[in-house]
Amino acid sequence: MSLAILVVLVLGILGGMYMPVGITAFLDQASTVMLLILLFSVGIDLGLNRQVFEQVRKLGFRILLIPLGVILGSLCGGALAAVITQTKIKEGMAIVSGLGWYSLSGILLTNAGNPIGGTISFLSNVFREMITFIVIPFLVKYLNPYCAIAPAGATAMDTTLAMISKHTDGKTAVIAFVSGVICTLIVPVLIPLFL
Amino acid sequence: MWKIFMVLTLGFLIGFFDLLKEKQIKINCRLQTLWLLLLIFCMGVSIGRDGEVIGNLPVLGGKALLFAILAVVGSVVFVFMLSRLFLKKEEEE
Repeated sequence: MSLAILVVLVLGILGGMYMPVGITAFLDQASTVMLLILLFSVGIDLGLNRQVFEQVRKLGFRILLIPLGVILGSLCGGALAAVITQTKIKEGMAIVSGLGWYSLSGILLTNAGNPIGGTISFLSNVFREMITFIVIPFLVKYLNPYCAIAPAGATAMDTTLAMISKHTDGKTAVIAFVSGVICTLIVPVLIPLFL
Repeated sequence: MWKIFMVLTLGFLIGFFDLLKEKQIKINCRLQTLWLLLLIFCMGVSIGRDGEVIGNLPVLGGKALLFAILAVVGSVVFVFMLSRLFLKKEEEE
């Protein structure tokens, strides 16, 4: 899937460079509509997971500490990266607020009139997903299974869940899924805070 | 921004109250991949048509990688600390 996304992204970039301005302007506008359609579809998926609320009750509210750690950790990392790259701290936090949900974070920044920040955010959340795939086995081996959920952020409910499940146990996979759903629900609230 | 919440909530309610049949849910799952790829293509176009963005793409990519790495490191550090402090007991049970 990551590969398909990269191929389509490169095709889009080439299209944007070489297609007539009329078409690219239309596609640029169309992205907002595409996002809304995608979010409607994602919303249905989220709603189907009623058992998440039950799981939180069953496992105890302490498991909410994991998505909390993901959010606080990401924001601190984003602030530090902002200092290093001499970006505004607020913008740095907006960039990482996607928690790996790349289709949402980039476009929100771009639509807020910051195409540079939007591109960084989009790419950085794509990279985050890739890094997650690579580091999960090491986090389980050298730290603890909960740490495998940390890099995944919002992707723990879909793309990276299989990887987490493969390297940990059933219970951690359930916690990962719950954490992924909670992160996904928080992202649309989190990003506007830093726009 | 409000449109985003509206469509997300609308979808959420449809899923939550089981308004779709099994088959429709599967179709939604497949369509989701299609929407995602179409959106990524459109986002690629936005990047490609913006001279300032495309001219700085290597620099932006480098910055993006730094943000990704530090966000991952931050998340791992926080989750490690919080799990050590509050979830340790559960592990020992």
